[in-house]
Amino acid sequence: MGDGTFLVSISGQLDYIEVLAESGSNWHCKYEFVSGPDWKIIGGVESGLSQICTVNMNGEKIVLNLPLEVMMKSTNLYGWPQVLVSIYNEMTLEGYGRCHVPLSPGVHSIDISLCKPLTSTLLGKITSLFGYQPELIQPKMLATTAGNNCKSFEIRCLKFTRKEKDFFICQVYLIYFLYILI
Amino acid sequence: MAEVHIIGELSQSKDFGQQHLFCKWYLQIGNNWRLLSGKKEGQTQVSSNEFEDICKWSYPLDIHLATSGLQGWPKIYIQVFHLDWVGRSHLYGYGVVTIPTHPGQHELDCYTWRPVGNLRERFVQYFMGGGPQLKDPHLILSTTDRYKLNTEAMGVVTFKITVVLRHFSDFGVEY
Amino acid sequence: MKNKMENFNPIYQTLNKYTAIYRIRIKEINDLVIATDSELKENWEIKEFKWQQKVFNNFEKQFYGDEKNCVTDIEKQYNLSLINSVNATDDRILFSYIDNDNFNCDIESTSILKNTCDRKQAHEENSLEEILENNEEYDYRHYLDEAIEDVGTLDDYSVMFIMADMGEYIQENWVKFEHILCTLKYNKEKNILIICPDFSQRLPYRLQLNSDSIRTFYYFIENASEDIPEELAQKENEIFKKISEYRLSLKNITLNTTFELPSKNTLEVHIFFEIVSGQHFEYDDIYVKYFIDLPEKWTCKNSGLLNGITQTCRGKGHSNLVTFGHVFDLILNYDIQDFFDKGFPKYPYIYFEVISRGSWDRYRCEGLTFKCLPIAKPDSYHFDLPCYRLTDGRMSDLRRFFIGDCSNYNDITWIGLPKSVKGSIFNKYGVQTVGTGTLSVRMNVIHQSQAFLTKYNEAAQLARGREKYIFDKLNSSTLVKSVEQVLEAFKRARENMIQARNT
Repeated sequence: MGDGTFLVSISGQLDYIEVLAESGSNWHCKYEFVSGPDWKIIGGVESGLSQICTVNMNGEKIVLNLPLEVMMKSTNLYGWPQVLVSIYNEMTLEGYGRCHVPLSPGVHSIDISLCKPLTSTLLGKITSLFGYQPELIQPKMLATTAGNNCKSFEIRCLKFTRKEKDFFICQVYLIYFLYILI
Repeated sequence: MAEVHIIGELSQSKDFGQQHLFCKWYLQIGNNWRLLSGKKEGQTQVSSNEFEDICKWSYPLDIHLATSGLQGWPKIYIQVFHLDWVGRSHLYGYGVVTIPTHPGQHELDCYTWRPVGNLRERFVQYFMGGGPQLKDPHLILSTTDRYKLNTEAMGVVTFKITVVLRHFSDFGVEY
Repeated sequence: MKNKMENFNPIYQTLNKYTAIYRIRIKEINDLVIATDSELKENWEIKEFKWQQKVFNNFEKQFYGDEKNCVTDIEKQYNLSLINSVNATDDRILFSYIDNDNFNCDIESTSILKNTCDRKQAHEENSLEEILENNEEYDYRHYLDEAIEDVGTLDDYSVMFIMADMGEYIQENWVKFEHILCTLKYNKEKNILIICPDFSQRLPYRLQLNSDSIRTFYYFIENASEDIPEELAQKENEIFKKISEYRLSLKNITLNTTFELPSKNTLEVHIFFEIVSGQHFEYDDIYVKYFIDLPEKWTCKNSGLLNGITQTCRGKGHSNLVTFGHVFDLILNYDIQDFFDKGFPKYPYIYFEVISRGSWDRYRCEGLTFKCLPIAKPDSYHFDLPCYRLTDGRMSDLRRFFIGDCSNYNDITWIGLPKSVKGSIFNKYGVQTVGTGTLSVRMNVIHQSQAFLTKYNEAAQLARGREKYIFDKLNSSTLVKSVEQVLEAFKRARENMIQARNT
């Protein structure tokens, strides 16, 4: 564009979650697109909440098929959009995950690994035996590089957790840049 | 001015033999480079995994640099620490990786090492942790005095980054 | 088939100011192949729609025309406008639904996805600390309830549908058979107008109805509004330019110097080396010595880096992985003029010697390897170099074990292409070696030269991206072949001639 902006159009879906899910449990998922200060969303949906998925057999995939579609406009590559997902089992948090939207146009399939916070207090450690699970007030902090200097914030990674997405970036007009990427 | 964007993540560490690891990363650039946006250093969260010898951080990196020369191309050097149950942090590795000059997506393995002491120091280290550290972390990057160091190999830290270069061709640079 | 399509009338624009005007032309053509030219050009039903202009279809005319049917205010308004208006004869097929009509299109699915754009503006600047301060008591239930209730808000669009009605009269009642031709959505807050499908280019859109018989309709969607006047458009462009210049100047302030260019006639090759790791070597406590051999015509500014030693590392794991992480940057210069005089340059090589330091300071050679530097194409390279070491039978192995046999060679370049080769055959027969481990090395190569600047390389700009090999680019660069060079070369030749004559 003549005014030095470029558009990024992202469409895709969150396919499934692979966790050791027990049968009869209900899972849902929240996602959010996080981007830098120069980015503006001009279309599509910025965040979403999925349906509730029930698991029938132990260990089977939790199929979400949650569509992701957003159109963004920016003047600067800094703050390239990231997707932040939070997975919940009933009402307890099971994990957070984040991933940069791929920078090259085309179809991509991405696996995101999830982690969940551990408690830092002694009382928390005891009550975690009874199912207490701390949550982040602002999951967006996982997508920023600030404020991560807190030593007491410990995250435990979940076992075999994976999600796949297809990102089909249909137009990445980068008029300003002549050589981008392979 | 020519610009470089480094967008990606510090994804995970492997084969360290310990859980509860966190990583401090620093960006090293030459004098003719300027940081336009993003951070020059940072620290990941402490992470652990129950089943595999992997620590997943998934820490986002988004750095925008401007430069007036090719010398001093950015490098990232890392220090990996282990946080034990008492709250002390022990050094578990130093590593350095050069940002690739070819634009596109790269998955870089940063192999780490840590200094090893003499027999007595190692004995104490086995029980109490700690161990020798470099006085000045910049020594990770220097090449002149490195031959005096005795080190041992530690695990691998993986970076997944995408590099975007801009305006370099206006100055006769071919990549 | 394509020729037929091009016989359609070209798009033309008219005059209404500023507000968006859309024109639809529709005609039924059953078989494009046998349609005659005159059929393609005439008898199009044409209608122009202004934004939110209501055009009634036959069913609505019947329905709203009857006063008894009109209950709400909007319907009463329709009734009045119908009574007062004059029916245009070409309102056969095309009509529109506007915002007030609450047309529920099946294609427009109501999604349960939340849109928090509006709320985001309010919470923009809250940093983590502020939120922690304000929420002394974090109410989980409250946030959870908010999240659950907030599902289902849609964006605030005002819509307009341009439709076609292919129904018919059955016993004096109009039976609807509606199809959407074009959907227009306008979001006031974001100033975005979405039109789907887009304005047709040269070819029309096709609408196929599969009812009792197959009927095909072709239609164009055209933009009939007036463009913004020249001055306004120019002002807009100027503002954009000012903004981007301002941004560029902000960036330039941080760096006061202009970009460093190498001197004319040199090709600078920057190589960023990294000696990463090694595997499967025999002993522990390993370090690597490297040596770079530059042939003639290649020079190096910081020649101290041409040879060096890494740290000593103890291996780990059953593959005896040793890590070095040794980085160094080299700048090699090559004189382009020689490229034309002498042809291809000789390649520089890097030689590695992997040495282990055993107990009692026994230095043993663990491997020798070399690599030709990949200066031809700039890229990020990763090499796994296999190593071998020289051995000479039992005695040398014993010596290696007891004393250590580091650097048991005269000239390290022998392991590559030996310098003493005469003729076109080289012979390394007679030397015994044993294969050892692998050394892993990364190199990032980047080229810089004034010959690649656009002013010297116009033709190559068009083939950008395809010509990566520097020798092709140097060939097409006019810098080297510029007049100055020719004159200089002439001067040199003349001087040589004079000297030869004098001696």
